[in-house]
Amino acid sequence: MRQQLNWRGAALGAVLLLNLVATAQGPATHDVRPGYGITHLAWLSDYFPPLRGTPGDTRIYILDSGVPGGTALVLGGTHGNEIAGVLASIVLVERATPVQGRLIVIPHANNAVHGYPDPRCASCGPWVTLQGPEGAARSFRYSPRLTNPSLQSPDPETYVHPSGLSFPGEEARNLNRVYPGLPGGTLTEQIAYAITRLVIKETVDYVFDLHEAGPSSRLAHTLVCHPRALALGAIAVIDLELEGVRMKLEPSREEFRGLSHRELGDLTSALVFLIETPNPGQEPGLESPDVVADPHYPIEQRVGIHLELTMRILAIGNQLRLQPVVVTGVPTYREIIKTGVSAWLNW
Amino acid sequence: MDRRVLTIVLLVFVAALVGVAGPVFNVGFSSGTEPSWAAATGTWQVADGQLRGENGRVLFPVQVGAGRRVEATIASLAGEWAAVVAKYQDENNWVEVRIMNAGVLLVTRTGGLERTWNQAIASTFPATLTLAFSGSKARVLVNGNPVLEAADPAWETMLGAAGVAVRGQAAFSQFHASSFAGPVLITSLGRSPGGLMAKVLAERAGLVHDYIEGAQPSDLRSVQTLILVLGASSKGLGAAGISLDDELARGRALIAEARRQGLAVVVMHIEGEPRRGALSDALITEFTPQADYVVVKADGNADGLFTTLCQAHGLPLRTITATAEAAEVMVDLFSLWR
Repeated sequence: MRQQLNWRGAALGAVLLLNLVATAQGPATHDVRPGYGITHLAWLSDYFPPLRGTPGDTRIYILDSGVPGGTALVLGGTHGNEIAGVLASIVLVERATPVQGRLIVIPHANNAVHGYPDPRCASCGPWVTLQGPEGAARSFRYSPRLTNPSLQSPDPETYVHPSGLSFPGEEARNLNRVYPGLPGGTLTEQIAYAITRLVIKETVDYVFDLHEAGPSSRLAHTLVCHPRALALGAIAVIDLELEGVRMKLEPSREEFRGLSHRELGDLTSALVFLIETPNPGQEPGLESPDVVADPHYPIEQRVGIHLELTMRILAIGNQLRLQPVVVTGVPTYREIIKTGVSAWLNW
Repeated sequence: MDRRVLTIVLLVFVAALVGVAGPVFNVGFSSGTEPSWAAATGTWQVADGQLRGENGRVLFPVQVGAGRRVEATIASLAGEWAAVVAKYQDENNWVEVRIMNAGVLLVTRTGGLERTWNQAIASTFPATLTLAFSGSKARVLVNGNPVLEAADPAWETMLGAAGVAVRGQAAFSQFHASSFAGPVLITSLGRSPGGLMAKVLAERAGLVHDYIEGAQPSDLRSVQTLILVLGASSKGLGAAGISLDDELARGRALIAEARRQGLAVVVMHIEGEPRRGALSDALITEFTPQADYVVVKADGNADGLFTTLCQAHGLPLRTITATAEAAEVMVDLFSLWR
């Protein structure tokens, strides 16, 4: 028993120490230029104060129509290298206008992934640049998948989720393995806990977690839905195919413990979706992949899928008389394919 | 009336008496043996998996009244036209839709009086030509796409045989007549989300249905048609706590019960190439041959597995290019267009 208490004491000390280190660094900043749709700015630490001033804190953008309705939460940047989700979130922040209900956007859900090389793709980061009008350019962080190990180390040999499910040790730094999070847990678990608190406190009706996978991965081009959200996802996938986009539909299964779509869906009444687009930067064995202008998987295609699916699911929900969330100003898949992502950013 | 025509009339009369009244009638020609036809004019022979005809008509022992649809796949045409025939009573009373290189022509003769409707289309072969009836209305589809609608009060009560006809030479690879009816039970074999997608599409089509992911034979009460949506994943089966063998056994039991009750069985594979693989293929190979009608999304049949199975068992195969099109197939099969 004493040994166990000592271990717990050491673990608590390590967490406090890491929080101190993290506090010294503060949250990373990003080039996000809010549009007229933004009505409130918040921090993730507003939902879990211990994160304040740490690299785990991150900006939250709230688009509140002022008209009663539902609430949708969009999470970009759960993984730092899944840039299409980050950019899709930023397009929402810069261009979307709420008409009914609320849209809450976190472009960098895990803001503690920055500041170290991507072990999966040395040439991919740390920045990607989009060209704008008249020679203007904007740069966005392209970071590794997992929390920076300098903020959370060492990795355990095996990460055991509270459900009992085991993962390789480094997955302890994977935001999308540690939901619903722990208030006294690691930095990554605290981030997950804060997001879970947000979903509960704001009575979120829809969660969209935007991801990417290597093009040859079975996950690429997949919409994963919590079982309660599966019918809605089925309609969206069927309809999106008519736009020329083929997505696989997968239900969130029991073995997906620790993932957003499973845990948030089980713990709250939200309908939770995870969207995966193909990112050549995540393909094993590719030398110097172009994560923006790949001829087969250009960024506009991937951002377009994220935005189109998100808006389409909200629209279908509205048709089915679920809690309405109506947003305008967001480009369709076809529009963004035609004009590129830059045309939908503020310059 | 010369002796030859009289023979045909008598044969058609016999066909009317013995005509198949069940929901589905399928004829394939892959066995190399001549199918059981009721009457024929012109020259007809079965060779190389095709029914080849020249300047004549062949009628099968199946009756077409209101609410039936007749479909034939024309592999090739060398001549003026190939046709699907329906409601054939005698030389003065019949309906026929002809496909030509430049269009389709719907012709009906009632009491010796002839009416026609035509629609220009660019035809290529092979082509599947469908003539569907609903009361006094008829609809013509080419490769599943509606191209012509018409109405004639006489069709409402007109009952007669169905078959194919040709002026010139044509080869037919499949003939099918059906009157699928709801309510429908939709279930997934393999526990993929395809079953749920079919449910969504059934709602869109206005088809009365129940969707039960793991339906059992006892769920086949009060339904007319069973729709089996094939597609498996190890994760899906694992999550449901069942094995492929369990799912194969459930499928066999469902089909056995459906056959015992005389229900029609439609097999669908609507999730495309991502829902192929060893597990799915085990289900496809086992259950596709037992269907009355098969619907597949094109990229799920890129290797021709469904084509091979359907040809070998004389089954109609409807190919869609997008999952959403399965709703239109339901509208067509269950005569929901009226």
